[in-house]
Amino acid sequence: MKITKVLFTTMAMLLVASVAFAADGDTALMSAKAYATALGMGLAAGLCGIAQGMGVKGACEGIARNPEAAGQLSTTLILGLAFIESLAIYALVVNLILLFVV
Amino acid sequence: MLEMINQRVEPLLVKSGFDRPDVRILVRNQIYVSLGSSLVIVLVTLASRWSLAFAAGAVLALVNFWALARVVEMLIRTQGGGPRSLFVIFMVKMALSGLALYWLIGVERVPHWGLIAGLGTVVVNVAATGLVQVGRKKA
Repeated sequence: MKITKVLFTTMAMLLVASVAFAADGDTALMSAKAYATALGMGLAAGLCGIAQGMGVKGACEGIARNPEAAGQLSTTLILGLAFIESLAIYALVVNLILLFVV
Repeated sequence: MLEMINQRVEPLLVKSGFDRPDVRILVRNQIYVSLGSSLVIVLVTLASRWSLAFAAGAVLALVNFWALARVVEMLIRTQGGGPRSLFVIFMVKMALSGLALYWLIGVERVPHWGLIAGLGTVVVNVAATGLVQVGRKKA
């Protein structure tokens, strides 16, 4: 737990260092935006990937145990994956807005 | 009216590879929600920029959902030779969605609330279908 805290603090310091020492305001802001976007999209994609993987793993195990339930499982799997994927797409949209609009 | 549209849409979905009736209903509902809401909003607001952003988001969501349903259907159905084509479909879909969103937000600067609302049509459809399923199980 302590190691994670130290790791995140170090990472945050490294990420803001270029902003703190940058001479030009606009460049610094753009740099901060780029870091924030990369971090946000990386986190969102990673977590959504883990969630989708867990969902597909559960469905594959269920179908392997009971192949007759494949039809019902596929519908539920599509629903779950669509929910998770829409979260990833929202994250992409928010990050693009952060990068280009704000 | 709806029955007539259903009868026209169903053969198209079967031809596209959606063999299971449950999945077909899900994809069909998504088509109705995305295209129907887009059409109504575009007509009501007289093709304003916001409504066009909504329509773009809804179409993007529909294409994504279609590809996702297709991938899952193939994953469940095909036994051999599937993974490569599934991987290609998935990667092409992700790349095209990313490029389309970049073009809409970064280049065209569409109203982002319209785009987000359009993308939300998938969530509306999935939530409604999930609730109907829960209701059927309880009944």
